[in-house]
Amino acid sequence: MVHQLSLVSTIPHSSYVQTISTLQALTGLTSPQPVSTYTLICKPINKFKPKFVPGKVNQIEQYFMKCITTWDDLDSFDLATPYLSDRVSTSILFNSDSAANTKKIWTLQISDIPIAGKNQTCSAQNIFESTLVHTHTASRKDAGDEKDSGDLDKDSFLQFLEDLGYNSINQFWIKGVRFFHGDIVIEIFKVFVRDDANKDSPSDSIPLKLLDESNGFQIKAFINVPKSTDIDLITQGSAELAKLQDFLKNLIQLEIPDRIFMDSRVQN
Amino acid sequence: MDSLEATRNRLNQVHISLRKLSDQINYNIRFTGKTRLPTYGQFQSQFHVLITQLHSITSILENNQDILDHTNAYPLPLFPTSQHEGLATTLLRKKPLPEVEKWIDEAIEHSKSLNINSQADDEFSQWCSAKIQEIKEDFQFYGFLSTEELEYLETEEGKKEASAKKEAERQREDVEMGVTTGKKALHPNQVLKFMCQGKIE
Repeated sequence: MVHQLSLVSTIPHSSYVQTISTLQALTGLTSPQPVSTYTLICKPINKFKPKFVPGKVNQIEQYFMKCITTWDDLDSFDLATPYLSDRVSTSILFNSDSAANTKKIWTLQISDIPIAGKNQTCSAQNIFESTLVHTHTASRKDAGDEKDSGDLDKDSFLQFLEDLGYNSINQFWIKGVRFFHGDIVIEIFKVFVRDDANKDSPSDSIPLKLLDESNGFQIKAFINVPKSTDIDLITQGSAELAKLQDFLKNLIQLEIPDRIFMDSRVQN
Repeated sequence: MDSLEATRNRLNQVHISLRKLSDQINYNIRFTGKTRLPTYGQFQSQFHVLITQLHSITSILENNQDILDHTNAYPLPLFPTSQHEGLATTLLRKKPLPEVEKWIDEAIEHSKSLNINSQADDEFSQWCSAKIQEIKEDFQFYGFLSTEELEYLETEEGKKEASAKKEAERQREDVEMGVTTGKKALHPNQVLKFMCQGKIE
């Protein structure tokens, strides 16, 4: 479990180069760490509704789960150039021959709603994570039937999720860079989603489009504290984030995200 | 520099009090012949002094954290001090070397022989700044262009240049428009909602 203190912001594409150079100067990292992750958002299949007893607070909740793995983009592209047309695509992760029998490291993540409170300097949230190694197996169905030829069985990871009681409802890809400033991690990224409108791409790849069509970058500055009870580290962390916020205020308006939007509980 | 000096003083105080304490203990053992330690009260007061001193050191370190974080101390602990003692002392020497001192003396002597009147210099610079103030009052400033530049803008060439500038500005806006497709950026909250719940509103 980690306790994450975070601030978020967004910048238009045109100020990307300036932001990167500033952060390079600030952190001393000339080549920031590249980030490219693929995330599946999963929702519990069966609804669980405990009997409501008056006077008893219902503590049983169902949560969305994120399954995160790395995404190795085949045709890597430069983030500094604006993504204008359907240039980006990714290889199909599931149900392809190349994906079969490969080991992938998946991180399953469930996050609490951020802590409520007045006069906060940053958003604070508990995140629970578990990492597992999964060997993907996708076996081809018997090609005897003409209709089913080429149709594939469910990928073993999706099957695994289903057995767990989760169903994937959406997916997104993240591409960006990561800076480190003291204990603070600064991530600058774009979010991609599947582009279903684009049909004329090769069959072995998924066309992607930007979630944010205005081509902006998302920025997230965060500190992970090992325990939510470690008040000293949390105060120190929030002070550091506030310092960074003040330092970058003319470049990026780092702000506290609204906790309601970060609620990953399933609304029944 | 001040913070370093303050830290050094405090550390020195701690050193002194620690030595005093150890002297007290040693004295009693050595000269009374009996292994009798100082009384509880003495210990108590010594520790109290030590704690106050350590506390003031930490507060100094904390207050000057920013400066001290960015300060490098030389020589580094890795430097082979015992082998290259001569080099270290030369590098860390604060006073100028004898020959350098000679040069400085020479320069001072030389400047005396030149007979420069520094007071006259100061007076001259003061006169200059006063004169500039005086002249400034004769002008009026509106905008960023001089009269000649404004007149140039009225001519045919000037008009052409201005329209070219406008054109370039428009082109830049067009490019920006192409990149953003004219849409407003998604607020981080919306993106976070998507990342948490898989849907966007």
